[in-house]
Amino acid sequence: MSYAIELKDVNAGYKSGNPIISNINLKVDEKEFLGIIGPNGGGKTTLLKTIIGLLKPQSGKVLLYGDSIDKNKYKIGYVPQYSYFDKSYPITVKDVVAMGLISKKMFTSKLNRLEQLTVEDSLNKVNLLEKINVQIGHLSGGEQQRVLIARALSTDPQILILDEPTASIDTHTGQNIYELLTELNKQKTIIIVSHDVGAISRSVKKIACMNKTLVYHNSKEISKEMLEQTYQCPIDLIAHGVPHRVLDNHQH
Amino acid sequence: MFEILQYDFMINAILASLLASIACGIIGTYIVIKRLVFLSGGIAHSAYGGIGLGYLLSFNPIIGAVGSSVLGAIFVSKMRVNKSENEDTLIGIIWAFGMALGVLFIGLAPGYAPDLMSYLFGNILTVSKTEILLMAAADLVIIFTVIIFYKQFQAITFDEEYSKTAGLNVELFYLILFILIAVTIVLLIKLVGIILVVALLTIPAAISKFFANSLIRMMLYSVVFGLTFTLVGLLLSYYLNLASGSTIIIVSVFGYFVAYAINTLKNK
Repeated sequence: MSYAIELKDVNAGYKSGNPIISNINLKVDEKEFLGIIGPNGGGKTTLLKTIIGLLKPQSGKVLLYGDSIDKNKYKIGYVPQYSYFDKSYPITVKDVVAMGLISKKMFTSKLNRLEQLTVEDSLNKVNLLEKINVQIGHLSGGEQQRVLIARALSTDPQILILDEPTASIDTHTGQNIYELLTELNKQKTIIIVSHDVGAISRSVKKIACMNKTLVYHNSKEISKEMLEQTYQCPIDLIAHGVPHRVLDNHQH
Repeated sequence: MFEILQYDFMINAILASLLASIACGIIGTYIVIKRLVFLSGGIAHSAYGGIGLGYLLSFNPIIGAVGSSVLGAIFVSKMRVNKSENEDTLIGIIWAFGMALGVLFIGLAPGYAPDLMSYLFGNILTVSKTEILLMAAADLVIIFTVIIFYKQFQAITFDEEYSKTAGLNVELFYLILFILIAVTIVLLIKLVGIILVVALLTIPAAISKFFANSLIRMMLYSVVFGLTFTLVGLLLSYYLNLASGSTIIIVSVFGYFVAYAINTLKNK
């Protein structure tokens, strides 16, 4: 069986000869929930862009279900950070979600019945159906992030890829988003990038550390060595009695 | 007040105001929403190269303006894809290069170019029947293209990266959008001139953005605001004997500040 996502010796970046990420080897099983952590500027976003095909690798291979990205692009649902876009853009929640269906339609602005149902169904999954006609800028940060998740779900992808979904969102709202992702993970493979080590480790099944290259232990535990290698400075971890098994659910 | 309607040049000017307001309401909406104001300035000034060439080789300068501004738009959109240079650097280059070429060509042309100032600052009272027909044709192209690609333009201006992952040919749609911007700018040159064109593209749309909750509404409001400003400006310039282009812009700026104040009070 082939992996959902497989990267073989990937180097990628924007300038030739100066890759931002190098020697990336990664195998992601189906229905995996992988968290990628690492410092800012460590190449997390570059790695995501390489996986979703926005950035061509300078060398190496990226395979989705054993095939090229171009063939399997539609199997990926990409959720960018909600803080990237202009909050004052005059667009309704419905139109944002319908953007996911864009490649299938060429003409006019009206949605047909099936598309309307798909949009409603996607919004229902993130519990935002009642906001369907609201302008996107009038929603809270957490709600905006959920709209972007609904947009990714509109194509019914097998893999969901999220870039810092809880950045600049309060802890409680962030928790809700992780609960939603855990629910979605029953059917879909999920990869999530975050610098928020604590929040991510409560939900994901496996963790990888990214700083120029990827350290991946095929487990959920992060060792002190792994973090030190990634952040390149000693980090004190809050461990509760179990050495090298850290950042797990804290029992107080 | 209606005695001015007996003049043909006045009828032409009013028709030109209407046609220009339609184009600049629709295209100005994208310019404001995607912050393409500087790009529009660059394309407008690159038009001057074509105008100069028109004088030198004695063909209609407006045709030259269409040619050189569309070339400028294509240049920026192609180079933008490569990401080898910053977009604003490229815009600065076509901005100055277009002006330099224009001045050079006009210097080489024999004789005196009497209505050259009207290309820089506009003179709505000299719009000809042919130009009205050209504007109407361009309006049709703009309306038709925007109706067909409404969703695509919305997607690329809202979230370019996602549109790429959704399988949209983002570069192609930007190219189309940039060309439409170039065409719109040439339409407006007769009204307010190269130097002032940016104001008419942005002010009506910027005001509409305060009130609109969808792109289509923003476009419709912008057309109404644009038409109001150009007609009020036109009448004022006629009765007070002022330069038409500048009067239109000053009326628009005044309108913007009134709208800004109303919006600020409303949101308090």
